[in-house]
Amino acid sequence: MEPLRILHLYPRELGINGDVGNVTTLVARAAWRGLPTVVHAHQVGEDIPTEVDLVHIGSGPLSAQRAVHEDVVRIASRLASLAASGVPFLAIAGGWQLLGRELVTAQGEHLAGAGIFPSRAILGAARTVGEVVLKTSDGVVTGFENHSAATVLEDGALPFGVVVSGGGNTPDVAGERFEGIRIGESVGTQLHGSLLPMNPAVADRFLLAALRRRDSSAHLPDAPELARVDDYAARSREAIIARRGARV
Amino acid sequence: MRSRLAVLAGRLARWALRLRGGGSAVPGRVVLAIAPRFLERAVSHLPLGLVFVSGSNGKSTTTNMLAGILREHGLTVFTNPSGGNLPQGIASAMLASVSVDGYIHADVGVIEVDEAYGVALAHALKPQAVLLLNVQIDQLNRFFEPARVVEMLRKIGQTADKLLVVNANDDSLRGVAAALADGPRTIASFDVAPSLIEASPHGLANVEAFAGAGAASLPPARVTVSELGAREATLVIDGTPVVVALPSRGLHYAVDAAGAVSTALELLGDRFSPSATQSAMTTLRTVYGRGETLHVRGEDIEIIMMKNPPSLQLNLDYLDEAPEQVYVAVDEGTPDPSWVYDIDLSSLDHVDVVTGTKAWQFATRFTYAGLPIGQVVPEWRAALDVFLALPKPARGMKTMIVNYEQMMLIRKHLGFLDLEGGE
Ligand SMILES: [Zn+2]
Repeated sequence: MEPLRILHLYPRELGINGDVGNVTTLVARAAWRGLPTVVHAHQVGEDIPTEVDLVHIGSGPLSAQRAVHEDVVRIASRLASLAASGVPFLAIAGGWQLLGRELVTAQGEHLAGAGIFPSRAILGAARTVGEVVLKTSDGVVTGFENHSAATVLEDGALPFGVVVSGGGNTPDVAGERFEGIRIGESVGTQLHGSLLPMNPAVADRFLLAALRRRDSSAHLPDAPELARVDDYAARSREAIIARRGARV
Repeated sequence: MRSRLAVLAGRLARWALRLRGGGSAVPGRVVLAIAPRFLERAVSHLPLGLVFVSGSNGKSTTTNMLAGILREHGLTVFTNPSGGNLPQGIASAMLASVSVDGYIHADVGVIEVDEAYGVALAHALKPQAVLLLNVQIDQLNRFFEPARVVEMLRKIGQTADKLLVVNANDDSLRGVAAALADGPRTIASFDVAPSLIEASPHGLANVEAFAGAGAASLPPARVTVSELGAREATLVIDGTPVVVALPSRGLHYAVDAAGAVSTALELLGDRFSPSATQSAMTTLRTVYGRGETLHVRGEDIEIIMMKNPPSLQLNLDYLDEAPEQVYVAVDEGTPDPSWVYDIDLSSLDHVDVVTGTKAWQFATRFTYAGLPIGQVVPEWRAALDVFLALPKPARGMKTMIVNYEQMMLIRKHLGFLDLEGGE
């Protein structure tokens, strides 16, 4: 079988919050099911491979975002055509900001994004740091956020989840708050590298979306290794829900 | 009068806490509430002033080394115990050394300071010398990003009147030294031979400066780590190789030693003695959790502290072989353990007991790393009982990988009642 090709953008610069955990999880869950994977680490200045099934980009501070920004602009049209062909993207925090329409720094400087996600991030909002509980279409999702961005979703885009506990896109908004962005099978979020390990339903949806783009009848076989790790993940989520006193 | 009262109140609090064991930050808080200028006054009569030691990793170990080296040269040294690097922890430490007139009577003070609290402390206490060790990924829940830590360390460095010592292998600190090059102070540096960095599985784990601050030039290092043994390193000091003992395995301990020796060399000038340095390094007590072995119920337990990702990685890299019995304990002292996905765990081959409020997240991570897990026991006291009840390992050593908060709880629970810590 053709291996699943994961494009990991700028792992050297972006990945400050253990974001590689998301890639580790995709690779392991595929391997347990007998699906081979190839991870291509994209570095500044390199070409994007022609065949890609899934894209991941991690988080980083503004200095790291600046270090890759020019390259993001350079490869933006390639990324856009991948997105247009249905390749799912998972973009974490600073990486999401770079793949949005625009990133505005706390000093008011405007950095153009790759435009994969119809969102704008404005840095310099009050910082929110802590565990997060969301309700999403993949069920209750838990994770950890640490950001000072106010993020606005455009064109009526849907959020990744509704905040049950935590900050989310615009922490200072009263009433219902949202986290992240969901467009097709792609997700932008502030949750870190424990997102996919702790929320296997989200991980499997990404895998399935990537497989179905190649073969619409594809499905994810069960594997004996999954039961134990998914139980650990479920208990990780329960612990966070309990700590946050969240009602889900 | 007020400060005498503060000293007495603090001493009383310290005495009461010693009976109870642990919690050493409290007496310092009592003192700070009664006499806020207590700290400043206490250190104002030190002939050689204060040396501040800061950075992401190795503060405690390096402070301990530098204090030991200066003592071996005949100086009386005031220092704070490991981990007691917040203002109230430092005040607590001073209570032990201060005389009833409110002054510390010593030749020099060597104090480890937290990167963030160190800025205000440095402005209040005006250190003569500052030693900056490294900038690594650390406590992002507090510091948010390394650039903020660099700025804190620059501010601390700026307060040094006489001497700033930096790690020449750290891009960020080269930048700090360059930014402070025009000041009144001497700038000195220490480094590691390139071949040793290449041989280290994960290098030195310092944050990479993407903006090119790493190109800034420094005066040549007078102390270079040139060779690394199991528990010793060769430091080339002004061209002369000197072998010194290390508290534990690992290049990071050799870097700490180079930082301490380099600072001692500048402070002591002609009085610096390589042989006194060697004997100091040989007789040092290990600092809690930094290469420390506890003796519990006839067994040896090696403590590996996972203070932050680089320290855990470097400690794992220098394990001789996969540890036979492994206990992992992580609690809310590590709010976001996502970084454990960055850690190469290949030096472990299993974990026996996982505990703490973050136990399930670590169990998840270990499973993704292919490591079999014996038991997950979230409640740490119960977990400790399970682990201690395991049969004595064939190689005689149990291994605990724990965060700072768990280390303190475990020490206290097992009857190690020494005072330490600021938090
Ligand atoms: Zn330390």
